[in-house]
Amino acid sequence: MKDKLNQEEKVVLIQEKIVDFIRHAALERVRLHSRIDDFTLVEKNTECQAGQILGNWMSLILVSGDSLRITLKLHFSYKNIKSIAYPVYGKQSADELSEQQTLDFVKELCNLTAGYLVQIFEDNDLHIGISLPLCTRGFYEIFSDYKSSTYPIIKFSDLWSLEYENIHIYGSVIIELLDTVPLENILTYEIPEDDDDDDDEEMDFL
Amino acid sequence: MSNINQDIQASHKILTLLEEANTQSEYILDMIPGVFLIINENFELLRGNIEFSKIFKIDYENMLRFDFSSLFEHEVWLLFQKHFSILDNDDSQNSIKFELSINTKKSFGSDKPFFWHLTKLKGGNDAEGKIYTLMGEDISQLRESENKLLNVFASIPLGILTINGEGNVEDSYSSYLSCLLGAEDFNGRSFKEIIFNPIIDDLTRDEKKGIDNIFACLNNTETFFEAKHDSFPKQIFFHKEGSNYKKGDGKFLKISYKPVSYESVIKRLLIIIEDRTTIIKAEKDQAHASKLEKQSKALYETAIRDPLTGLYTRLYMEESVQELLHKQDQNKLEDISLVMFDIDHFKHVNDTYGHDIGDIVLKEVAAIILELVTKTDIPIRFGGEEFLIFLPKNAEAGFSLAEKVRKRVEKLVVTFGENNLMVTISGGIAGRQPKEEVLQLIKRADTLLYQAKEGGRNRNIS
Repeated sequence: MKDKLNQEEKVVLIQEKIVDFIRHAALERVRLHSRIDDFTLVEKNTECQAGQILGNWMSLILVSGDSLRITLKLHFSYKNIKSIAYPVYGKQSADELSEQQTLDFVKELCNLTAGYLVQIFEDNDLHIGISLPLCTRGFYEIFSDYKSSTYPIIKFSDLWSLEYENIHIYGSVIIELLDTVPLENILTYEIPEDDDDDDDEEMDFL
Repeated sequence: MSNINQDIQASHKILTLLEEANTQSEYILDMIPGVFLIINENFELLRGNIEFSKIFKIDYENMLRFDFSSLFEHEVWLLFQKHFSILDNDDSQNSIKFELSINTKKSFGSDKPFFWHLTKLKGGNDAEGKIYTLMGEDISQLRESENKLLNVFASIPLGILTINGEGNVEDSYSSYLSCLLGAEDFNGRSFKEIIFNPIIDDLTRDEKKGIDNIFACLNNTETFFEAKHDSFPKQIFFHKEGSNYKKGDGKFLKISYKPVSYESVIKRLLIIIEDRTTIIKAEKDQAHASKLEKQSKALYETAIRDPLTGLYTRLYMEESVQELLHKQDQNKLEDISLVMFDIDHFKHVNDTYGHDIGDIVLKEVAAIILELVTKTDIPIRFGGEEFLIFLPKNAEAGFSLAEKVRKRVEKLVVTFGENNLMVTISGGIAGRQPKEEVLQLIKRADTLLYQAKEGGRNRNIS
C-alpha cells in the first residue's frame, strides 16, 4: 500500500503512526506501572494549547535516533500521583509516599513509555536510544517550543491526558522527523495485541 | 552504538547536571524569605514559593491556575492591576517596584505593608500569554521600626528637619519643632523664611552672608560645604515680632547642619535645632554669681586684711584665733604662743617725718613679718604700730620667730629723699596656758613687751 502513496501522504501517515505509537505506549505503560487497567487516554489537542502549564511538576524524556527525535513530557501534581502510586510502593495510604518517591514514579513511567517506543521502533529496524528521565517544575513548560514545521525538519506535537477517575496526567509530545525514508517501515506495522511482558526486558540505558 | 546514541549518552551527564542545578535553583526560589510568584496575563498563578503558600494559606498543589486577584479586596486588586498596566504600557521598563499593603487575613485592621517588585518575564512560548514574576517583601517590621524611630525623634527635645535642594523643608521629624518655633506645617516652606526671616534685622552682615552660603551648598559639592560651613549661623536668638512681643522674649537656638549627599553632591541638609535658652540663661546666672562671689571675696578680704600692711585685722583675729584656741582646747593642738611687737619710738617717726613716712615704716615692718611667718601662723595688725602673731607652736618657737623678725627690722633702712631711717621693734612672747582666754594671753604678752621696752627696746622677752 505504501508504494501507492505519494511522499506527502506518506509523511502524514508516518506522523499519525508515531502519534498512535506514543499514545499507545503511554496508555499501556501507565496501566502497567500503576496496576490500574481503567486508565484511559483523552485527546486534549483542542481543549488545551501545547506550551501551557499543565501541572505543578513535569517529567521529561528524550527518545532519539537517526531518523526521529521525540520529547515526551508528563505533567502532574503530587496529589494525583500519590493517590495511584502508593500501592506500588507497598504503602497503606497516599500520605505515606514521599515526594521523591512520587517524582521517581513518574520518571519511571516516562522511562517505561520511552522503552516501549524503543521496542516498537526496533521492531521496524529503527535504532533509537533514550535519555535519562528528568523532573522539574511544571512552569518551565512555558519555555518549550511547540511550533510545527515541515522543512528542513518535520516537527509537530501532540497533547493528551491519561485519566482515571479524577486523576489527570497530561502528556505533551514534540516529534521531529529527521529522515522519513527509514520511517516508512512503520506504515505497515501493527502493534502486537499482547505485549505485557515487554517491560520485563532489560532496558539498555545509554 | 550509533552516533545518535553516543550523543544521548553524552547528554545524560549534562541533563543530570542540569536537573541537579535546576533542583537547587528551585529550592532557592522556594526558600526566598518573601513572596515569589510567576503569573500569566490572566493573573493565574503558575508558580509560587513557600512564603506565599504560608502567607496566603494556599497549598502548593492547589496553586496552579489559582486566581491571583481573588486574594485581594477589590480596591487593593485595582491598585495591583494598575501596576501591571503601567508595566505593560511602557516598553522601556522591564520591571517596576511599588509599595502596597495587603490584608492576608481579610479582616479589618490587619493590613500589612509589602514592597513589590514586578518584572516581565522574557522569552518563552505564547501559550500562557504575557508572563510576570512578582516578588513581595513584608515590610511591616521595617515600618514598625521606622515608627518607633520617628516616635523617638518626636519625643526628643530637638527640632529635626531636612531641607531639599530648593531650600524648602522636606520632612520634619520632631513635634518639638512646632514648640520651638511656635508654628506648624513646615513641610514645603522655605527654611530661610521660617528660621531667619523673623530675626533678619538682628543679624550681622556676616551672619546674613552665612545664610546665603547655606543655600549655596545645596546641589554643590561636599568640599564646598566644608569650606562654607564655618560661616553658617550656628546660634541665633529667635523671636517673633507681634503685639505680645516684649524685648528679650525669645529663644537661643543652636543650629547644626549635616549634609546628605548622593555621589558627593549635597542633595539635602539635615538640620538639628536645639533650644539653648535655659543653658544660656544658666550660664549668664552662673557668670553673675561668680562675679558676685568675687566681689564678696574682695569685700571680705578688705574686712579681714589691713589695706596698708596686708596683715589680718582684729576682726579676722576674733574668728581665726578663737578657732585656734578651740582646737587646743579639744586637744587637737599641743601649743599656742603669741608674739606681740611694737615699733620703737614710732610716735617720734610720725612726728618727725610725717604720717606718710610712718605708713611706709609700718608697711616695711609688716612685709618682713609676712615674709617670715608660715601658713599656719596668724599675723595681725593689732592697732597703730602694734602687731600680733599667733603661732600653733610653743613659746620657744614664738621667740625664735620674734628674734628673726627683730633682727631683720634692725637691718631695715627706709630711704626717703636724702634721708635714711632705721627702726627697731620690741616684742613680748607668751605661751598659752590651758583654757586661757585670748585677752588674757594678749595681756600677758603685752606685759612682756612692756618689759622689753623697759629693758632698753630692740629686744624680745618671753
